[in-house]
Amino acid sequence: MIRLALIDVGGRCSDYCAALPHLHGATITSVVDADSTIADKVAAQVGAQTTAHSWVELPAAAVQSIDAVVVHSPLPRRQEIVCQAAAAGKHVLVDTPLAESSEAAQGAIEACTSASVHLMVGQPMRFMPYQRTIRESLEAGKLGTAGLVRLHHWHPEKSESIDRSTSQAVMDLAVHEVDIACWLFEAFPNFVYARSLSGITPQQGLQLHLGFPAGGMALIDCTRSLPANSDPYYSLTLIGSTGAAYADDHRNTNLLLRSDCVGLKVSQGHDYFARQLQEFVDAVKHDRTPNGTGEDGKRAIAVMLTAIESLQSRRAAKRVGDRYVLC
Amino acid sequence: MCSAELGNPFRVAVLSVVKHSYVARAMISHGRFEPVVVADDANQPDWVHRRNQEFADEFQIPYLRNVEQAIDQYQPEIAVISSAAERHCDLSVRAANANLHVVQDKPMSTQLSECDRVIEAVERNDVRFMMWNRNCLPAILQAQEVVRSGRLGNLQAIHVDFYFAKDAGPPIGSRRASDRPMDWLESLKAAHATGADGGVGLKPIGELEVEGIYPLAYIHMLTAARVERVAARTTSHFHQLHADNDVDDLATVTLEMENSLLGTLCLGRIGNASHPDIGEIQLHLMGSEGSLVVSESRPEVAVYYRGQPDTEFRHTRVANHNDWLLADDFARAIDGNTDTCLDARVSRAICATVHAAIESGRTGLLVDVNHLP
Repeated sequence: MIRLALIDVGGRCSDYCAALPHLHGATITSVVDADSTIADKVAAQVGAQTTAHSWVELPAAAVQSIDAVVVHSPLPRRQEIVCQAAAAGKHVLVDTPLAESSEAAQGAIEACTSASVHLMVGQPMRFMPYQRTIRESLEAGKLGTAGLVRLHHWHPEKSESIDRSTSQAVMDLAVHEVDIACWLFEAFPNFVYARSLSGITPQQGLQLHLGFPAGGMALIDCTRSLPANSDPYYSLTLIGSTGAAYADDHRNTNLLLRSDCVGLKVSQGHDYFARQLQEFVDAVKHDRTPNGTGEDGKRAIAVMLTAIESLQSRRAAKRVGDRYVLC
Repeated sequence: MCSAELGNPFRVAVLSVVKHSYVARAMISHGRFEPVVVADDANQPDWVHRRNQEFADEFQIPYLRNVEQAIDQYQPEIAVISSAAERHCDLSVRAANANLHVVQDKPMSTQLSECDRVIEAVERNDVRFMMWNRNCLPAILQAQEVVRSGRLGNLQAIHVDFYFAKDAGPPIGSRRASDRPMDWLESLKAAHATGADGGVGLKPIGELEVEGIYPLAYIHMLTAARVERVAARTTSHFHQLHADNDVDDLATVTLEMENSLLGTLCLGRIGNASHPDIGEIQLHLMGSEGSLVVSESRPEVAVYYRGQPDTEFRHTRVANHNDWLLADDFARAIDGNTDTCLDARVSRAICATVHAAIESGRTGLLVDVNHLP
């Protein structure tokens, strides 16, 4: 049984409660959060014996009994927590983005490698039905070689935390989607061009144009400007050399007819959280590479940071060797 | 009162109808347009004359191997042009100079200088010009209505996907090293049977050139904004024919437009297997007050039956009056001496956008669109 500690669990109590009945081969033994009310509540719900305000405040005995940690810490502290956990010999599942910079991400990767522990960079979108189905079809050879990825992700607007920088907010807006594109092409893009939408800030609306090796290409459209009370909208298209896949909320919408005609989006469900957790547990148990590695995480960060440079300079960037250069 | 009820029919000369004949047929099906002659240049190859003659025979009108003689003898008022793409503008200029109003098949031209000749001739002779388009499809008209109603607020972004699910011969990678590259003209001539010969001509042209006008015309119709700069990625991803002739069958374009409007275009001839119908064509519009997702093919009726051929589309578009509405718009433009829904200058702007995208795809650089001053 893999014994898990949750670090900076925040508002994820319901996610873990929903996931636990479906989780095999793992149990949650410790919950860490700066807010003790949250830590206590989550611990009670998931059956954890130990709580603490921070990783370093966990009792030594509790730390010894943990096999792996799940890190939900705020981005500025994330890499530090990962390194601390690795130094303690614990396998790590950490939220995306892994760190604030490629260098910090590399530091986290090296810390885990040195400690011979597994590092999984959590990317819930990889475990959602749309993405899973398309990736599986691609892996099965049904679609041929990936040629084009088109992704729209529209979120309702939300007030921005004053503690977050513009770069962090832009990163948060599109890093998951960038990872999906890179994951489907299994490569770094060799061309990055980013633009924002008029009338809104870059952290509210971003358009990314990516080129991939062998002629691959992706267009990613992420916004956080839908009306505050609206449902988000998502669509993902992959055009391959011998087939194509279309996953679209538009297609998966029913109708409610009253005085007006309203679209009712059919939910994709929430089992992606449990699936991601199970993937981590299985990777640890079977000592294999997880779906979502440190290198994947570092790649997404590098592309997003390049996109931010492109956005600010209104220039495209090309990959030269292992870095991006504005052209 | 629609224009079908106004005035006498216009006499139509069909100048070269060698590819899909839907433009000529659409015009002729409207009550204001009467075909009187098919004509082409005598120096055209036999296969061109054969196709022209077939069309003339079907409509029981004469076919002349002399364009100017046909115009002089049959006194048409309209020219409908569906030649090979590289001849489009020359025929349009000649027709305009003979004071004929012109309906031209897409693309406008393979050269911007030819588009400029058309504009000069059309404006000097004060004749009407229309590029054939799909702007009157019901879903597109609905999108226009939503935009005009203000429900989206100020438009911020517009995205169009235009995937055309047709094969173009054998898949990429199927040619052995010892085989000769596929011949563009011969392949497109053979594609006439399936109607997938929009790029027929001596000069190979990729899908951005062949099909790009349709989605770019949607964008212009919904935004009225010019594209100022583009970033494009292009490739031959599906078809040996395109790879052998170094033209694109898949493209993505970022469109930087007037008024800080942002657009994107994904376009490709993605192959029969990649969609159960003609293809996936969608629009996504983002505005300051709302957003819109449009499936261009709707309304549709789905029909399935035992033994249904794989090549038959499962969804049939219904309530599609695009052809009639375009022809009617053209008649109204002539009657009222007004602009058509896709005139020469806008068509030239679209052509310039396509050419800039092709250059961007080749160079990997952002390219300014070469608009008329």
